Amino acid sequence: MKEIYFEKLKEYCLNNGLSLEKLDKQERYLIDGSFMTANPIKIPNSDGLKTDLATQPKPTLIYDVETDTISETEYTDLYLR
Amino acid sequence: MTEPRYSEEELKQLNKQNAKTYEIDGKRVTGYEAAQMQRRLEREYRKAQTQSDIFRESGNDIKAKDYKSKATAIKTTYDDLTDKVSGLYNSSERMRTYFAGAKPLTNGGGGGIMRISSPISSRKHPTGTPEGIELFGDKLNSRQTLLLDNLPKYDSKIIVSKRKVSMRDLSALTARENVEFAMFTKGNERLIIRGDAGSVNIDIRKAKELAEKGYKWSGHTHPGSAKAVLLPSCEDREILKCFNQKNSVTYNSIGKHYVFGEDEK
Repeated sequence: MKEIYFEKLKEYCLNNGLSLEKLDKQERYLIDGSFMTANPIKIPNSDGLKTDLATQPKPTLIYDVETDTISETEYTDLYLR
Repeated sequence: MTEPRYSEEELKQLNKQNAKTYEIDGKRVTGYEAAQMQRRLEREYRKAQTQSDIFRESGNDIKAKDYKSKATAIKTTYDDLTDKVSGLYNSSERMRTYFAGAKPLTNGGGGGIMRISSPISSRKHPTGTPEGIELFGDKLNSRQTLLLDNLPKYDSKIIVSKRKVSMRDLSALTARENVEFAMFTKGNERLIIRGDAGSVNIDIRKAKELAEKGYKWSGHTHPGSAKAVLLPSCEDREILKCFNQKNSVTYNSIGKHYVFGEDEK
């Protein structure tokens, strides 16, 4: 299903001036009825759970499967524009 | 397991940083105290915002606005504090609430959010549920209280029998304390370690040591109630490799979980 949902996000990006190239580099997650893309975060000197929050990916687009709606987040412009 | 969290150099740096004080609301506070204030504000914001969302969905717009104003005021204080104190960062993900991004009930056939069919004051549900603690300020149950008594501060550890703790219990503790907890299992025993708002004192070396001792990484929690809080970090995957496991699990503050894998992309 992830591929189908990802196609929806691709279409959304095309229609809203977001970068398909950048979207392709995003991680993809299906969590509790929502498909989301997220930008991976790497930091220097990361070390296991000591840098857990600092290396948590930032959600960029969220597709709610039940309502068939796509939401942008505060990171959409930063990582997909 | 008794090794210090920081090297001497790191401790010097931390002491130097902590020696610096800041004036917040007319009082001088240390960096550590400011960080504690920030955790409290995150928790208070989520509670006020959640109350606002609940009243909005139940049609009580006046109360919804009241709580929204309260949440906005808390966020302003939070932003001011974060700007003022070096070393603090704005964690908007962990301030996001369960309802964030949900569509109104009248505009999406349910919208994925709960229906309010009875007044909040008449709710009856078991104590100790993560969602009850996070959304309504419920209390921990007795076994969770006992666990918390033994996990009072960062890097506190406890070993308990398998049947005395579950990941949902850790989710409940996270809802109560707004910090991470990690759980490792070996045979019939479970090792629980308390973290802070964004970390647990388990680096790659310590993870490998636990794996050598026969522990498996059962899971860990991330504070916050939004789905995005469940996203596993890059370092979560690095820890998973240390245990040679295919999967582990993240829980948020309302008992939702996500099973993640090493090769997931």
